[in-house]
Formats: sequence, structure tokens, C-alpha cells
Amino acid sequence: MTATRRDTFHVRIARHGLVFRFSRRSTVLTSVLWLCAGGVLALSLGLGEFDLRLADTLRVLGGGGTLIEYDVVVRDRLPRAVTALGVGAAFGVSGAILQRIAANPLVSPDVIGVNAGASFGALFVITVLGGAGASLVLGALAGALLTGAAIVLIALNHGLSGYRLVLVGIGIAAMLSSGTSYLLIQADYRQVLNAASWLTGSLANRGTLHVAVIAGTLAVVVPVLLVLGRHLRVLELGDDLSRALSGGTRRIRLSLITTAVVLAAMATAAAGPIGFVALVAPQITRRLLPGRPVPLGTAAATGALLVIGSDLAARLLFAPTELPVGAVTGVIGAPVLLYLLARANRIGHTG
Amino acid sequence: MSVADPPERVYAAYQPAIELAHALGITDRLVGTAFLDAKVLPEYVDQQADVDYVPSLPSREALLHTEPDFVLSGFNGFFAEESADSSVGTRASLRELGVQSWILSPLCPSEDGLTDRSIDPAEVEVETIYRDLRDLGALFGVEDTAAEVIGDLKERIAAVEDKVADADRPSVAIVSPEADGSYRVASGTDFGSHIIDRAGGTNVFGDLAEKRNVEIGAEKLVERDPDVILTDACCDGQLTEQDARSEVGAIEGDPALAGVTAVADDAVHPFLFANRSAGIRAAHSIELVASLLHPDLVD
Amino acid sequence: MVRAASAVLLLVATCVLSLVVGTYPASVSSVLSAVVSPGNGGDVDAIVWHVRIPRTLTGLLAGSALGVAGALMQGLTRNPLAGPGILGINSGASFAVVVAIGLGVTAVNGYLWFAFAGAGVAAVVVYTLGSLGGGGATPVKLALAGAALTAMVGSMTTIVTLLDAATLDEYRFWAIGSLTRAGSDALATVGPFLAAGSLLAVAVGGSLNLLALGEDMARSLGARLVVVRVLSAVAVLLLAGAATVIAGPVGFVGLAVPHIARALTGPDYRWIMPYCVVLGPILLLLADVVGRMLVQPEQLQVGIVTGLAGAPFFLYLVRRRKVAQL
Repeated sequence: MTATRRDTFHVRIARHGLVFRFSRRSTVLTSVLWLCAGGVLALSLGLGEFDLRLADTLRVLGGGGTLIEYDVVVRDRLPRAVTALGVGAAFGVSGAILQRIAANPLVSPDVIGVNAGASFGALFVITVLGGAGASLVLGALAGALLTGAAIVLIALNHGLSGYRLVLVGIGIAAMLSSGTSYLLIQADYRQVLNAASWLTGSLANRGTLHVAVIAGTLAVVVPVLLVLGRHLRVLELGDDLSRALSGGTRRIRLSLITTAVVLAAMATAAAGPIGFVALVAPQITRRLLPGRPVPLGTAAATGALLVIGSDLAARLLFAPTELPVGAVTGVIGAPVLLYLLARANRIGHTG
Repeated sequence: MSVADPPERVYAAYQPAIELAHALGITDRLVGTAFLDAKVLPEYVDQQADVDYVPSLPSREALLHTEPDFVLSGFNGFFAEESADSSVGTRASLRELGVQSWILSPLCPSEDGLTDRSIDPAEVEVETIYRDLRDLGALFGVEDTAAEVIGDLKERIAAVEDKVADADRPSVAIVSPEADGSYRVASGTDFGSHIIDRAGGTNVFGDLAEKRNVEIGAEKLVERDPDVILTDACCDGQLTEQDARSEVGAIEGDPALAGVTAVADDAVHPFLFANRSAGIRAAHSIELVASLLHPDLVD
Repeated sequence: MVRAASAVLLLVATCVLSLVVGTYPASVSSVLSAVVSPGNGGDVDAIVWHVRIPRTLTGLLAGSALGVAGALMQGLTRNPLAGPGILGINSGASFAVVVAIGLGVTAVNGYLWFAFAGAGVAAVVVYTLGSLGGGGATPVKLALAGAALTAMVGSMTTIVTLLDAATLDEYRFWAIGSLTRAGSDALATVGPFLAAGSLLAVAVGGSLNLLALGEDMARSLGARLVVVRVLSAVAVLLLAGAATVIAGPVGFVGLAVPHIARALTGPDYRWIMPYCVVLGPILLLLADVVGRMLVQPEQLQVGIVTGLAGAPFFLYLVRRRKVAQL
């Protein structure tokens, strides 16, 4: 595949013989989206129920201010905003990978049961073990990873087709959400309130633990994807054609699905199953860059912007009441997608 | 725990904490209140009108914005660890900022982050409420008021117990009709059981002991056949017994329950979730239930 | 034929089971005599006629309606992930119910018309949005518009419930599918809607087979795409809307039953539909019976058990059989 389009340029890492292809348009778009996300992050540090002027915020970030101001800006708002960016990026990439492999725009980690697994694990910790904090993160993580593994293993019967994966995911997700509903009904009313906001996806009270979980995940996964991501183009052609074109399709497909599952699992462990981001971020990206496969980097930027923007809205809209971020992503993301859908004159194949 | 000077800026969350603060006469020290299950008792309505109130729990920064030096909570979930999403952070993390805290003992487990399942509900008695009043009275430097309140509660409850001592004990169920056609009832471990007991009745679901609230179907309610049904309306700062009328209507309107004694005898009464929580409301609730179970003895 | 006959027999047996099993200790003979000679008063009579019979009827009606609606939706969008919920019906109904609770409507039957109106508005909006732009209501656009609106309305529902504790307390029980909420008057009210929806479904079954061949092929074989799509959407609205009204938002049945039917009969929608009519109630009623026995003295709502009861079988089919692609 050589560069025939004018807006494509190559970055060659000679020592490893790797060539990365970049499209000018997607690079520009990605940069703009990340800049916007950074801007929202800056706003998130300064705005909120606790009144702080811009100058005060800067002073606190520089190490000044009272103990309480430091607590609000550095120990509460900052980790929360950073977690938002990381989680949004992870969901965006996870959704983009799964949608491209399954060639189905409705596929996302929510659909194939990863979020349902995390929710069940977390709710088990909240209602049965009465835990919070690190044990909650661990419970969600265990739930998501076990579910992901189960889905891949069950679907692995006759080669891993995207179609079968999705159907198995639906089945497992149905079982797990049954379990979740059961725990919710059994729980005490006030536990339900707490659980309800976790289950919606929330960034309240996030700390270094959550930043570490999501940042560590991205640090490991991004290099992997820089290498594996190039194979997505081939996989998208469908099972038969891609097998003809490249050898180890099955192994690559399995690695990519595993990566997507791990991303969604870690993001959910850090922030709960924030709905709709994994589904809509690739779809928005796809319509901003018509006529080409969704670049993972752009999907990541879209996801990050969507989540941090939603979280800021969730904190400010109904002040003094703070909503969990997952209650807002749908309200903000859906109109964007609907607008893009209505505007598009021609839509190519699903993906 | 010990505090050098009595707290001056108190944030109170949940019904029992808010009503207790008013009862102790520290209304003017409240910098904020949150999350009522029902309208406060009539004697505190004027006091409550003078303080800031939000229906949902505040976030950590919203709490800190009120500059409290003390947080009084009726429920431990308010102080759960990070990532518990309806909490303001652990008590230890608030202490670092100079904010002390207190959880009422009926729902105060020994450690942060545990749920009320870690408390043996059978140990929660009316005496638990007196102990809290005494301790908090000392902490706020209002020992005399606390002693007065305790004396008043004891007197009112004893008066009721005296009147119903020799009466028949009707079977009672605290029932909330749910939107899915099922019913939620208060079990034997709920404080509601103590209230029914002292008011001269028995909880018809008193044998269920695994958790406070149990979901049952209409069939189970027909089988147990309670003599009296109390409803369980909840969760609005303006709610009064009048608002529980719709629950009464739902129970009386279910054709499957037409043969239940309480329905047939017109003994389904409006009652509130807030009435069955362990707080200074206990005397009010015991008087109310006794007047419903034994109208000839208690008015 | 043997397969079809045994499915019907299984359905009859399930109905009998649903009448006989319950928390109230009533013997089989006393239940049967109450069925045969109603109105003799007594607890068993009240339980059979006001609990178990409405419950079984709800399972029959909602189960078949959801199964057929799911098959229609999957055929219409040619997407295996499409269930009746994809037109926004569940989310629209749920939001309307939350609004109703917020307005102080408390009688369970009071939610009925709110739920129907919400489902209808959502379906019309999804269909309209999905038809904008070039190419009309293509499967992809319809599915995406449905998913987007579902997410948006779902978010709005969450916001309302989180802002108002009393509404959340009430809504969390409405939001779980259950066969015990609808009385005989509610069932009678939705009956005509279900009948109309079923007739429409039968009418479009053949055209869905053509649609499965692809749009161009279907058009050249004489299928009138717009008419088929609109009729199918109306049928889904009537069926799934009515099912949601009487049983709440039951998720898995509408999605899974068509796949199970497809695994048993192959890709012909004229066979898939009748199988859905039988398989849907079997799944719902069996799940309900299990829910009554599992955690005495409590009972589990059918929406909780359907996943547990139906999903293993669904997984078995997906794994064993060569899944018929849409």
C-alpha cells in the first residue's frame, strides 16, 4: 500500500523497519480534538461548587493556597479530569477496534458484555462485601476481564468470527445484567443510591489509584496498537478475504479483540461503565472523516473530549447536585451523532 | 472521639441527624442539611425552614464550600472510601482538613466504608438513640437539653407501653406496594419491628431476619394475613402521612388482597419510611402506631 | 412438524405450571377446581384469578409480542443486535413512566398510557431521524438513530431519577420486567394493539425474506421497500409497546428468541414468526416460574431470571449450530 492520496504522509522508523502512515486530515482533526480536551481540562480545574478565581486556581496549582483549596483542586478536580481523559480515550479506541472488526456500528464493549461483567463485579463488592475504593476497582476489573475471557473462549469454537463473538457477548451480558438487577433489588435503598451512580459511570472521588489504573493501561496498550492497528485494514475485508491476504489473521484478530476488552475493562474499573462513549466516539469520528476507516487516534481524542466535556457539564448543570458523568454522555453525544447522521448525504458500508 | 471546643459549623445529612440537631437546639450552628426522607416533625418545621437544605447529598467540594468543622450523618455511606460515588470521602480524609465527623450509632459500623450489614440490627434499640443523644449533647456542650430530650422520649414511650400492656396484640405488616406488582415489607431486624412491638402489636414478618426489607409477592401477603397494614412512603423532604394515601389506595385496590383481614377491616393506614428509622422520631412513631392498633386505649 | 408440535405442547405445559406453582400453599386440585368454578370466594380463588391467571396471560401476550417484534426488527435492519428496543421503544416508555411518577401518577394502570405514548413518540422520532439524508431509512441509519436516541432518552431518565430519590425508589421496580403488575383490565386494554401488530407482522413476513437478500435485489423482485419498512416499524411499535406497558422493559427476550427460532427453522421469516409466538412465552413463563421458587419467601422478577434461564440455551445454540446470518 503506497501513498497515492495527497494528504497521506509516512513516518519511517528505519531501525525497526516500521512505517507509520498518517493522513493529514485525520492528524489535524486529532490535534484539534486533543486541544479542545485540554482546554476543557483547564476549565474543569477552575470551575465548580467551591468558588475559586482563576488566579487562586493557578496559585493552588503552583503549590500555594489553603489546605482545603489544595484538597479541592489538586486532590479532587485534577485526578478526576485526568481520569476522564484517559477513560474517554480508552473507550473510544476500544469501540473503534470492535466496530471495525465486527463491521457493525452497534458493536461496543457495552454490547459484548464487558461492561456488564464489570458492573456485576463492582455491585457484588458494594452490596455483598460492603467494600469501596481499591476493592471496588478490583471487583470491577475482575468482573470485566473474566467476562471478556469467557466470551472469547466460548466464541472461539470454529474460528473467531465477529458475528459469533457479538452473539455470545449478548448472551453473557444478559446473564450478568440479570445478576446485577438481582443484587440491586436485594440491596438496601441507600446502597442502591450509591450503586446507581457507580453503575451509571461516575468520576466522583477519583484519586491517584484511578489515574494510575488508566494511565498504566494506556502506556502498555498504545505501543501494542501502534504495531497491531495496521492490521485492522486487512481484517475489515471480512473473514475469507483477509485470510487469503495475510497469514496469522486469527492470532492478530484475537490480539486486537483482547486489547479492546482490556481497554474497556480498565476504563470501566476506573470510572464505571460510562455508557455510549465506545459506541458513539468511533461513529462521530467516522462521519468527521468520511470515506476512510476510523483512525484509532482520532477515536481516542473524540472519546476523551466527550467524557471530560460531559463530566464538566455533569458537575455544573444541576449544581449543587452533581450528576454521574454517565448520565450526561448520552445527552451530549447522541445529538452530535444524530446531526451528523442527518447531514450525511451518502453513507458507505457499515463500520 | 474528642473535640476540644464544641463544633460551631455543623453539616447534617439524613433525617435522623437533621432532626437530632434541631432537638438538641443547635439549629443556629447548621451550615447545611441534606437528604430528608420525609418532612421533619411538626415541632422542627420552623427550625428547618431557617437552614440551607439540598435534597441530594453534596459532593466533597460542595460540602467543603460550606466550611463545616463538623459533619453529622445518619448513615455511614456518606463517608465511604474514594470511588464510592455518593460519598464525601473518608472520615480520616476530612479530619486531615480539620473537619470532625460523627455517624449515629444505629448505622455506625466500626470502620469506614463498611455497610450497615456489618451492624447487628438486633442490637439497635431505643437505648441506642438515648446513648447518641447523651454523647452528642456532651460534644456540643448542651448536656441539659440532651437530658431533657431523653427524659421526654422515655416518658412518652413508657406512657404508651403502659396503656397497651394488657391489650390483644394484632399482627402488623409494614408494606410498600412496588411498581412491578410486588410488595416490600419490613422484616424482624428492622427498627420498625421494635416500634410495632412497643406499640402493642407483632410484626407479621418478624420471623424474616436476613435483611431489613424483603420483596414478596401478593400470595405471601395473603398467606400471612396481617390484621393491620402500615404503608411505607418515602423520600421527599415535604412528604407527610397524607402523601402515603396513594399507597393505601394501591394496597386496597389490589383484587388479590381483598380477602386479607387488614383490607377487609379497613385497617390499611398511611405511614412513612422515615417513621421506622431509629432516631428521635421513635416516640412519635410508637404513639402513632399505638393509636392505630388500639384506638380505644391510645389517642 | 414434530418440532413445531412439541414446541406447542411445551408451551401448554408451561402455562399449566405457571398456574400451579406459587408461594401460597395451594394444592394442584384446589387450583384446578378454582379455575373450573370461579367465584366461590376464598383465598385460593383470589390467588388463582387475581394473581396467577393474569400473570400467565401477561407472559403469553408479552412473550409472543416481544419475540415477533424482535424478529421484525432484525429483519428490517438486517442487524443481529437489533431487538425491539432499538426503535427507542423501551427507553421512550421508561422516560414517560419516570415523568408520570414525577407528576405524581401512582396507580400502576396510570403508567399504562404514559408508557404507550412514550414508546410511540420515540419510535416516530427514531424512524424520522433514520430516514433523513439520502437513501431513506437504511438499516445502518435506522439502527444508529435508534441507538443514539435510546442512549439520549436513557440518560434523561437517569438524570431525573438521580435528581429525585422518590422517583428512583419507585422507578427501579418499574424498570425490571415483571409479570405481576398488569391486572385483567390492563390486559384487556392492550389486547387490540397486540392483535393489530400481529396481523401486520404476518403481512410483512414474506417481504422480510426479500429484504434479507439485500435492498437492490429486494427492489428488483418487486418489494416496496418504504411500505415494508413503515409497516414493520408500526407493527414493532404496537407489539413491543404493548408488551412494555404490561410487563415493563424486558430486554433479552426480543433479542434472543428470534435467534433461537432461526437456529431451529432456518432463515425463512414466514416460519421464524410463528416459532417466535410460541418460544417467547415459553421463555418468559419458565423464567417466571423459576423466579417464584428460587428465593422463598421472596420472588424474583421475570426480567431478572430471563437472562439466567434463557442465556445458557442461547449460548449453546450460538456455539453449536452454524448461525444463520441475517
